[in-house]
Amino acid sequence: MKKLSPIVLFTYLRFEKLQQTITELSKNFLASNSDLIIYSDGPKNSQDQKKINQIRTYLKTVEGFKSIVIHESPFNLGLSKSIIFGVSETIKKYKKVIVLEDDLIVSRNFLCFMNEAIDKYINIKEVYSISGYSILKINKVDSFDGYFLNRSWSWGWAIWEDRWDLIDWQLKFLKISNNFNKKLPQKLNTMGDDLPRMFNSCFEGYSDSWYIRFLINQYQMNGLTIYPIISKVLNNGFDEFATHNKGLDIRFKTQLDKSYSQSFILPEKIKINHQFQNQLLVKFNFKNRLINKLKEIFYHVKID
Amino acid sequence: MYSPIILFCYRRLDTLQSCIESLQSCLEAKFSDLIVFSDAAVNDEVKLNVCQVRDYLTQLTGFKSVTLNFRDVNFGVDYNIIRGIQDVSKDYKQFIVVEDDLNVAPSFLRFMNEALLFYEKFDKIITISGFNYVNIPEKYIWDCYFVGRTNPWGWATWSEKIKNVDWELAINDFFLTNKSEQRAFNRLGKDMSPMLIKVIKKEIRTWDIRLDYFLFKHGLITVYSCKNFVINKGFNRNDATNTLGYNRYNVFLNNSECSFFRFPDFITINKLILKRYIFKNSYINRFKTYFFKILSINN
Repeated sequence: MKKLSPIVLFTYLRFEKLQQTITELSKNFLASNSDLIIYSDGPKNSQDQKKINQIRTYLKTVEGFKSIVIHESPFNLGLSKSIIFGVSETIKKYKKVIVLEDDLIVSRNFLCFMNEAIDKYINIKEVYSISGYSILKINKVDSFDGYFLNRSWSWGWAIWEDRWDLIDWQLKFLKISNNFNKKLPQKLNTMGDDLPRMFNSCFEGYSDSWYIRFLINQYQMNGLTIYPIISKVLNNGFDEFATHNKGLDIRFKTQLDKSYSQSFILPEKIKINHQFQNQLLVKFNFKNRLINKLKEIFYHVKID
Repeated sequence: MYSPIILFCYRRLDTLQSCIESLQSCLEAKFSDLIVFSDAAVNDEVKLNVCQVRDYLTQLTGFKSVTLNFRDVNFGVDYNIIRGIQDVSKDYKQFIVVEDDLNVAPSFLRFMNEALLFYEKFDKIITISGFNYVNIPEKYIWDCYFVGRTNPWGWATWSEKIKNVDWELAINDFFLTNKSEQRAFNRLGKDMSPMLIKVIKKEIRTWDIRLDYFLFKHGLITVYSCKNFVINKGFNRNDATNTLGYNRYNVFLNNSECSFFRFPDFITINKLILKRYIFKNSYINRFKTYFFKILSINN
């Protein structure tokens, strides 16, 4: 059997969510054979310090993995820098990596799916990343357990060293001028209507997103992402402590794989599934975003 | 390892003293080398002032080391700085530049040193500015922003990145005749092309516009602090060299304790900040400056 990929887990303030994430992860079939590397980000202020101490005490008690390494940052790096730094450091050693954040819940066969996909596509450069999460609710039509889209997802994903090293985080190819790259946000539309706005907010300096830079690089490289037909990850993170995701998770609700299957049939042909790609684009188009927004508003009204 | 501070001075003892004292208020001063370039008097009238300045300098302490360079002849404000930068570039890989009419905030050296460290590997970033006059939008999350124009008041750079700057302006004829080039150069302030033309014609001796032209030509960027760590005390004095008249950069010094700076690892361009940055040197604002200049001369 090939050596399993290490799991890198990023955490900051969310103690309860983190406990859930780790509990579910440790129930995985392959957990006891996987290395777990945890990056705990440092505090922004003294209030956070207390919570972080609590988290770090807990982390030392975690069991159920082949090995556990904890990296504690003395100061606040922010999610973007934590991820870029942590993944770079780990991938140098292991050549491949599975990345999780502290707000995700994984299925028992999450690691099986990820490791299988990592080994299958290790030499196929057209595959840019692997996603454990699938936003689409799909009725299985053919024999395959996976499909390709042109966009990565950041909830439980994996990548290889050669592809990670090609990523230009500084985005040197962008021309700096007064009308800063008007065309690129339009082009990103082909990966989802939500991206131009994410791009603008990031490059105006209103948010710090590694994900949009990850996607821009994917766009530049024309890379594809393999998704599972049945999602292996759920996002549990839509609450007031979340850094990026605020609001309701209606749109991102999906079904979690409850089966015990440990091996998967992954497509040989590296090709976008246009039917699913269109479904994804529709999810993010203006009309659906508007409906989602209205749902959120009414939901909050009801609570109040 | 802290970057050395280069200080350029001429004949103003009082502003120099206040400049040195403000530098000493930075915790990092004790661990930084100070290199002073003192220009010689242009005529007998100011000789006494220059002597006083040099007397003061010889007793200077409070830094890791103090190196004094007394010019034998008058270099002028531009060549004192340009030659000084070139000299220091040979010995240090990065440095911070301060002039004798500036006052800095206690966090100035920390900001400069951290930014020098963080942005060393970024090819597009050539200088760092501790001076900021722009009102930053509340939602902006970083502690610095990016503009393609340098700032001469309290700045820092890397020797490797500025070694190719054309300080002598060998291309001058091209710029004087090419209107579209002039328009393009004006994109970050309507004062830029007129200033460069005057420099090429040797009417004024502004040095930083030559660096700006280098930035413009190569698409390079300056990092600006969002908090202002520098103020200029040299305005409205008859012994100032370059800065006569009303100061349109009238801003407050940020004296708060800043221990941690958030630097983005990619270049952001905020439209609002850029607009406000450019507006400072718009025609309206420059007319105001010109108006007050006339008033002050008549008085």
